[in-house]
Amino acid sequence: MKKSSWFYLDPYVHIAIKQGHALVYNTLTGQALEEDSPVIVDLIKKLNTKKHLLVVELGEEELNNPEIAAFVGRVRSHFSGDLIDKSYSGGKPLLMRPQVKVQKDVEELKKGGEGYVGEEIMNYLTEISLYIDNSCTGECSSCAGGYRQFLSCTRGHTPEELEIEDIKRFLNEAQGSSLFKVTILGGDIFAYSKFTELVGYLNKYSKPKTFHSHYLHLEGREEEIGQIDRAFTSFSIQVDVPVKEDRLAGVAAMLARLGLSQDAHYLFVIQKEEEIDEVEAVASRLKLAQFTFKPFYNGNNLAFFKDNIFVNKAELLLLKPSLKQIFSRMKLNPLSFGKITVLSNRGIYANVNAKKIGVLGRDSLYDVVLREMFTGGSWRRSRERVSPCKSCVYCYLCPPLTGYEYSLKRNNLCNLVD
Amino acid sequence: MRKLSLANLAQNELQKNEANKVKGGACFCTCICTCPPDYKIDLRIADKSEGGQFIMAG
Repeated sequence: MKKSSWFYLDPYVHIAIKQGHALVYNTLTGQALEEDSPVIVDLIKKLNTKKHLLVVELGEEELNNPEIAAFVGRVRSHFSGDLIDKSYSGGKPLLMRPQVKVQKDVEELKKGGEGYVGEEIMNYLTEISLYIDNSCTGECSSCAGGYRQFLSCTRGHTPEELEIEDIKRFLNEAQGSSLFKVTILGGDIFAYSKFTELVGYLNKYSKPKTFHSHYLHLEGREEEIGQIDRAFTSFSIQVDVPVKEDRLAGVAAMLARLGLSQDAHYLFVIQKEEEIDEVEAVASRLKLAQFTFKPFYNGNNLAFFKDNIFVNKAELLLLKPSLKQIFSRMKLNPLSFGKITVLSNRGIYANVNAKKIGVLGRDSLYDVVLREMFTGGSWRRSRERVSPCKSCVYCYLCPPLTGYEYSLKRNNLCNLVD
Repeated sequence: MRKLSLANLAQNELQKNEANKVKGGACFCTCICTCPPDYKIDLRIADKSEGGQFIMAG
């Protein structure tokens, strides 16, 4: 009698098949198998169908095929699946094959009309960033493009600032939402003509606030900073490199006097590799409790990005993206989902690199959130939607799209796909 | 892991988002439940602060 077995993949295994290439990724151990052989890719395809639900029968002939036997061995060594003698079961075993399904998927809800989509739409809103003005006398090299790559201050040629009443109306609309962060940026936020009134309003506003400022704008602003209620408030302090260390030390000392050292997070904008050591030395000398690097692409430092920022396979696997993370990356962009930015020209954006979705003072917050959910231009822009990532089996293991992809004008910031 | 790798930067950002959600008072948890007979699993984020209402989030 011929011996046959059930070969199965575990439900915590993520399977991706693209253009004759298959990935079997164990979400618990972070181990991955890449398969190119048509025989193996076909076998994985079969396992991944609703009909087979991760279990297929392998006969003696197939088990004696060296290619299949080696693959089964690799799967077993990764704890991604196993073989069971068929005689142990009366029928075919069943495995629940996880498949992402969003309960209130907007694509489904859209069929029911705008009102239906909008029912609980404000629950999607999580962050609002307001560029209250654009005035600044600084000459930072990252100024013009930095805000398109990460949350950063920026200045304009003609002075602009948001109307205080428009800001209040906008934030009041967000009161019942899931908003958990309001960031105030400029220009120089302390140069905003209604700064005291704005702080007075924000002090009573129930959501956590972050004041984002260039470190040089904080000099001599002890009185203004003192007006800010510390409850649920933090400070993002942007520092361009090379650092004027004595002046940064002065700012750090001032924040320490105000008891704000633990609420201050320093963002160092770097453009080349040597600056990493410089920043670490400065942060160490000034005993900065929290600091982060913000690499800035200036159009001429591609080599720095390729060497330091571009991802490789080993790093993707090291982070062990979970099944939950993979599922969310299939449906949306977890880095930008729920975030709204208002620039000092009153333009409202779900992503400052994408089209405007509204105008402050004209459109309600509800309308812009609804618009973004309908178009999906930014919040739901996953790697599955862009080339060449959509052809790569690693596309859901990769970090979500950021502002860097727009600035570098390429979606694959990696060494996986040419 | 290189400290500036996009994978690392994105991971830090996502972790910060999660921390902020907690600070903001919204308690998010993930509910995964099976829905026979389609054998689909729903990925839902429940906002407990609103009585377990299901919403979609990152």
